[in-house]
Amino acid sequence: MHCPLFVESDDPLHASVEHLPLSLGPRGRDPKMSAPRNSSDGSLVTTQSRQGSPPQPVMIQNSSKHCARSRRVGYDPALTSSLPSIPGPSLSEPPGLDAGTHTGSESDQHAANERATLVAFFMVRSMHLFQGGVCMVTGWRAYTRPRLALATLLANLLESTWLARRCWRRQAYRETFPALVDTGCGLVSLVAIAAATTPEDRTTWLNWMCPLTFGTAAGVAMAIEDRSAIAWPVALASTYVGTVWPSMRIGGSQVATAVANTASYANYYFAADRFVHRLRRDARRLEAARQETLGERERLATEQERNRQHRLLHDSALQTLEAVAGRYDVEPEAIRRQARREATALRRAISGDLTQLRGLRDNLESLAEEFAERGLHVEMIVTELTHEQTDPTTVAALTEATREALTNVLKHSGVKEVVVRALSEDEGTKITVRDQGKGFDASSNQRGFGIDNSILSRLADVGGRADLWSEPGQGTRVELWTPR
Amino acid sequence: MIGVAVVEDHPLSRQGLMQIIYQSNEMELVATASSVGEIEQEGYERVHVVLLDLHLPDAEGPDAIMRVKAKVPAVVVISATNDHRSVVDAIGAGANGFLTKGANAHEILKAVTTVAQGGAYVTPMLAAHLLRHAREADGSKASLLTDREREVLTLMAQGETDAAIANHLATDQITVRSLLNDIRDKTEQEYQADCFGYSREIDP
Repeated sequence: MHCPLFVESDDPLHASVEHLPLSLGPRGRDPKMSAPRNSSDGSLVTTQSRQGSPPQPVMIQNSSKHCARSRRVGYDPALTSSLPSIPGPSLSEPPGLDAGTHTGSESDQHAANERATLVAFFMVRSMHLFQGGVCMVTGWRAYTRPRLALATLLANLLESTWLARRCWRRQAYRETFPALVDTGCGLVSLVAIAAATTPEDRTTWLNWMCPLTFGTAAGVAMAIEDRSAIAWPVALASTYVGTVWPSMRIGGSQVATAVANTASYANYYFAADRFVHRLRRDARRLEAARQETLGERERLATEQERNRQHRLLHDSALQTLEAVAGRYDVEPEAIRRQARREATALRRAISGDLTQLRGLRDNLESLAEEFAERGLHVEMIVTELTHEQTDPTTVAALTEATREALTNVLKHSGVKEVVVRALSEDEGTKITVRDQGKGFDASSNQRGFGIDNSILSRLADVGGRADLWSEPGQGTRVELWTPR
Repeated sequence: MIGVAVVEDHPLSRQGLMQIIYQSNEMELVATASSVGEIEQEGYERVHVVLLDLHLPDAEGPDAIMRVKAKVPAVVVISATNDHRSVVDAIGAGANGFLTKGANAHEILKAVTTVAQGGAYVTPMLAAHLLRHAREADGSKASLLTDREREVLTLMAQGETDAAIANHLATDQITVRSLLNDIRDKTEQEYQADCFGYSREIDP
């Protein structure tokens, strides 16, 4: 069967809106306004088929952050290579638009567009169904088989409800199966309504299935972005032509209406196709641009970080190395001290463990440095300092108390090693200073062995306390504690 | 004699480590290399313990450790950094001990001797990292460590001696050592199960 295909002018949105109140009379669509779909539109087809690959959602979710790290540093090349540099769609390959593969990796804009299209589609459908209801009430007597017409209306109501629910759950009308059901329902209903009306009435308002299936044709364009789907609106138009064929002999106005309506199938299909295509393409471009911006920002951050590191190295280690390599007469002990200071600073800079408390941690590490220069090796353990101790008075009190404890170790313990462990507890911060030195009889309360009273009162001022344990030959343990 | 290999790319550090091993009576330096690829080419013949730098030109931390552990029973990591991630990643990848570059000769020799006997060399610093790791794993899964194991780590992290810990737990030092070994093994197994969904066989 010959089926003329016309395409709407440049504004697809306008076209679809313009056609909403159906023109069943000869007024229809002025054929002069429509141009036959020419081959230049074929570009659309090729564009679509290129973009037809479904988006691959590559969101790697690590059950544990430990794994994220160990993968990054490369446990297994196979694992590493499967990691995307940026989660979500990559820049070089925009996400595809295949039906039924709407995934979370697409942008919010995209989701909003799909929802808006969906709402528009079902508003039009509701209007057509309402129109069908009006036809049934006002034209009950005009139908030869009014019950068949009513049954058709109810069937379409049911089918549309099912379609709306299904699409709403998926937040998109982008899959083949429901489009197939909708088209099938449209085909059967067209025949049923024709059977319920006289040939004269099939080109009039009584045939409300005709405008409804225009919407079906538009829906096919939304659901299936493959040009072969055009076969479906063609089938709808052909069925319509088949049902109104007997009316053609009646008069010129019937013929004009039939031709205009047939053309409308094509109008609806192509208008919806271009409209939806443009929306989805814009959303895709927006997403690509967003990804590009993100990538750019990341590159910039990397560069800043590199500059910062260069500066860090230049200001510290490089100068010291030059001093060592050069022929300056520098005392070895001074070089050693300088090297130790810079090693600590560099280690701190590269470890960058931001969960750790900066103020107290920095102070403690400086203490370790300070005492190392005085000949006491302090194993300073700050990894368990996981909570922020924000109050500067508390930080100062803890720092001074630790310094005092370390000074005592240096003076009295007779050993050159001490372990200091700082720990964030639920209610406070605890620092333990433990040496394995001579120790003393804590009960004897020898002057100079304990913790200075001024330190004790400073700790007490912030609600903290200090405990001292020692036995001759068992070393000494000092415990400092402050609340959070 | 314990066969020791030193894998370290920094020439001064490498020389320092070699010197320490030379001067020991119980150890023999059988190989040195500046990258994992180099030691793999040289082969691991007579190597019992590898002293491994954590940042090598051809392999980062865990990757290097796993490659070496596939061939050698014991690895002691010597690292310039000791942030929590580096330490846990290293133990998870199979390191038997973790030292910072500030460690003195005595400590390095003690670590090599301990791991050569099949033990884990747990310093107060490592104990604190393992504790933090176990604490952070709490809530997401069944407790990684038993109360007794946590107690051992806590005492260790506070700088108590093996003897004092054994005394405190009313047991002997051998039990304390074996508890520490169990903790290291458990941490590694849990880490690998977490990352790959299965447990790798642990070398005895």
